Amino acid sequence: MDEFKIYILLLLIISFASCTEKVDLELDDQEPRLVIEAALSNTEGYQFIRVTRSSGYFDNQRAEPVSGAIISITDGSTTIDFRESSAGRYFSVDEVAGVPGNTYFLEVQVDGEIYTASSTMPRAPQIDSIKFELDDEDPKFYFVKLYAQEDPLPGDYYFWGVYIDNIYLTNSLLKLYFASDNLINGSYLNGLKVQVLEARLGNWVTLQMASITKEFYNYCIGIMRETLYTDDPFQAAPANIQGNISNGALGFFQAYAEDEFSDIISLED
Amino acid sequence: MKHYFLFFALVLILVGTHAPLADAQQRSVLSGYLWDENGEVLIGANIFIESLQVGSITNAYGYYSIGLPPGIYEISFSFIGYEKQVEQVDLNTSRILNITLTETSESLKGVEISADRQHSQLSSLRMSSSRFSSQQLKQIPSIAGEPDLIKAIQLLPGVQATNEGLSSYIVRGGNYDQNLVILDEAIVYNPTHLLGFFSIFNSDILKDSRIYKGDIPAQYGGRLSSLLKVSSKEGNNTRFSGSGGIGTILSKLTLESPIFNKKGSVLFSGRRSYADIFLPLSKNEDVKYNRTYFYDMYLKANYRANEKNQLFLSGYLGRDVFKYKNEYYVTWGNITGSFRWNHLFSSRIFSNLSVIYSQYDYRLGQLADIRGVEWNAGISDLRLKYDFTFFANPSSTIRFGVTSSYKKFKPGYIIAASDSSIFNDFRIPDSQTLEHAIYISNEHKISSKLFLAYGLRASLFQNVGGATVYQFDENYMKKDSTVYAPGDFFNSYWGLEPRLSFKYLLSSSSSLKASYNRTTQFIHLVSNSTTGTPIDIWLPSNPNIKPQHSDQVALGYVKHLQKPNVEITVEAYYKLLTNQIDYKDHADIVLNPEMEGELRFGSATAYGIELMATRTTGSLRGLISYSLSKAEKDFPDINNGRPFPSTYDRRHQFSILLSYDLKTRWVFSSQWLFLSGSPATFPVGRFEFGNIVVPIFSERNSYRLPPYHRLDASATLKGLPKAGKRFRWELNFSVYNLYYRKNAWFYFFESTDDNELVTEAYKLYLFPVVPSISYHFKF
Repeated sequence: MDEFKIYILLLLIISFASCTEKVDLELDDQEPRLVIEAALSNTEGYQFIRVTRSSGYFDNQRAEPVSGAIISITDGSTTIDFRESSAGRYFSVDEVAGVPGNTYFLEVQVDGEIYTASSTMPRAPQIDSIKFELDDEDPKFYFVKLYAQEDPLPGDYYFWGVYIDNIYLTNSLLKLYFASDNLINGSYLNGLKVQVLEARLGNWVTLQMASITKEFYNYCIGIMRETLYTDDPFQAAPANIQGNISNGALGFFQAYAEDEFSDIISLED
Repeated sequence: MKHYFLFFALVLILVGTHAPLADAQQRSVLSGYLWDENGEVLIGANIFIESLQVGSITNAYGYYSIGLPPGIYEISFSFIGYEKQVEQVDLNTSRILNITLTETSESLKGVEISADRQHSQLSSLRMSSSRFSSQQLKQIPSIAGEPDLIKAIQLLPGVQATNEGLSSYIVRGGNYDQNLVILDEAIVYNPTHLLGFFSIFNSDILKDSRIYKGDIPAQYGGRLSSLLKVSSKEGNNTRFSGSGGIGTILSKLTLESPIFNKKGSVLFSGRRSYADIFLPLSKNEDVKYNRTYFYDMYLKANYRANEKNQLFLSGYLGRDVFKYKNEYYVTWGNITGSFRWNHLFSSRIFSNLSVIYSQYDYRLGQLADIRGVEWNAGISDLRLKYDFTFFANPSSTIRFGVTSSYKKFKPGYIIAASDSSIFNDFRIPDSQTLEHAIYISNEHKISSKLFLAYGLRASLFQNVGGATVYQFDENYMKKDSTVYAPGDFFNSYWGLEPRLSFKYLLSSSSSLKASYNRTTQFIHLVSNSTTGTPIDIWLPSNPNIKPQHSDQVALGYVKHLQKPNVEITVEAYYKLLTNQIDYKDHADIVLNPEMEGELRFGSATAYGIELMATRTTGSLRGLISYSLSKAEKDFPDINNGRPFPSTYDRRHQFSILLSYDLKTRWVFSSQWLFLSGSPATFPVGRFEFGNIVVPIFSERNSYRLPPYHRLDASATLKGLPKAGKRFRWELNFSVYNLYYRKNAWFYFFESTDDNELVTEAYKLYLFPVVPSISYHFKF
């Protein structure tokens, strides 16, 4: 659904031949705030959380990591503890997995302040198979085509990521592909193009399909709106995206359920 | 219902008190029409009886009527740009006198004409308004030599463009959906082409254009902030004639002819743009895949059946098209059509019955395969209007009337554009409304120095099913919905709008004016953008959206300086707007059936001082204007309930227009505009999420863009008329944005392509220098 909205924006940007020029601006700087990026998946492994601070807008360096945070996730019966492996980077002490349907509560303690959030893991999606298609306009790229049944109950939200030879390519929010089931609810997805990557014959490609919460979907769409199509003069006035963490922390805590499917790019594609 | 009875009672009282007075004094009525040599009526022309110091003006159909004591009088008929005509009239009995005025010849144009005094701000009963004749429009430098009414009104203090190039305009801090645009009695919902670079008005066929920034007459309503009333030509009823132009950006042709043995006339006018003006000058690579154009057509016909009856038929069709790679397209346009019947019940009672249809719609889509979709939306309006003018006596002109309209709102539906499309059809439910109004007003000359215009307009609005209305809880989350069957009247609102205007002649060259205006608006244009787009959505009031109201008071002073022949106008206004609409942060308006939950409501205030000096005759003509104003919004749910600057809060506005006739063949003109920068929201910090840099924004509208200014210039060479031949030509050279100011349309902030961590600020600007040449002819 939102890809269509993005088409509309694209349409309007493209059809309007305007010019762009860099400008020098002096901006005020807000007080730094705590930023928490936390995710819990249904795949067994070391779950990862990153804690940093915000800075001035033109402060062109990596975000300042926050050490010494005490972090835990609990679903009411089990608790997952985290420890810091390097500055600002926290991993779960054990290899754990979340369960679809459970509600998880995150608690982060930094400098005597407590920040909490919660998220309910959606039901896991199921990929039947994938195929590849060469991009006619740029033969270095292949589309990944998804074959799956979309759950007829409305209210599903997804993102798709991709691995090549077991390396996670879509390691930034902008490289993931997001969709809601608004316009495709209950359809059989018959070769829907959900990812694109630079690849060659013989590459082993894995498609990741993640079912995410509506709140996280809206958060990501909001983030992308503020960072991706920023040069669209027809969009609404920019505003801050509300995360789901308490006490004024920025960032998001989300529980998601994923499925993966792998295949090799062969001559038939 | 009882409001209607009150109304008719008022009508009877007003008519009753004036009519017997007239009869008791045994008046003779002089009435008729004023035309130019082509049979076009002259609107607002003057009829003056020097000996009695009384006068009148022609109405919107060129008709005048004045009751005088029986006798013989010298009566003068005049209109700006035309030779004054004086007639000796024997008015011992009532008489009909139709007058044809001749245009002032070229050689006399440079001479000061005192007739213009009668048409200026000084003599006008109304305040906060301005008139533009077609001659005045031609003197403003324009893009592609195409004089544009909506660009012209932006020279006036208090009328501002929403943004660079975009012709939707703001009047005294009011939103751009608060401007009523009327073309030959039909409402135009989007009066712009090419995202506002041009307007839909073809200046070749415009006859009379007036803008009211306040003090809107009682016969008009439905929008809060302004009225732009445009009348186009009816067609030459004396001979076949035409005009046209060919230029580097667009071409146009107008043809007119008498019909029915000169008892009627017909007119056709069309325009089409072809060279995409922005494209050759753009550095954007994708641009070569664009096709951008607009076209519009006017068709008019009229027939004078007899002295008391005249019929009019008019239609307008316009369309804009944007296409990218023949795959994506956006198109929008207006269609209007009206049938009008002028009928004289007596020489003193003029009536007009109109049936009018207006429509605005747009479509966006993508043609290809599985993702093929088309999105459609629009609004349509069918209206009946019956207006009466009762020329009671030389000091009172009473107008009253009634209007009803049926509107259909189509906020949007998606249809899968091909069978293989995986998108399902998706529809935001349509809605329908009925809107009725009755009004009565009187323009009353109380003494030779004091004029009063007072009126009352009452309007009733009804929602009609089939419709689906959502209910929202205190957190604006949808909690329920109600479905209404077709024909079910499920909600109504009404409004009472007093309109008062006062003018006092301090001397023969100065006057004092004051007005109070209340207006109500039942329909709202909802937009996802601060700049306004052609895909904004019209929504009616309903149980979730209350009608907007505006109360405006204004005080003004006009002075005519004899020696330099300059008229100076000063005006101060204060406007309070209630039930205004704004949006929550990250509002999702596009294709959202629950979009009403994204709206927030509050009030707004706008106030300011406007100064203007004009000189409309002589070889050096022009206008200088300055406005100091403030527009603020106050919404409990936005900005934590603290007042914030309205998007249209631009502190200073300055414009200067000068036009100079060099001998008889050249006209040079130039204009310079300045506007303080628009409010904007900028980042005040950043954080990282998902390996990207995310900005943290300031409070809404707490920063400003840099000021906007530009200079346009044009030179027109007039062909020498050949003796005995009617063919005339002109060659126009114009330059838009002469010193290439890269006016910021928009600022944005993003990470650079090669390094995500490095962020930069950029500005988007639209039009570099746009030169153009065009050739115009008339026969």
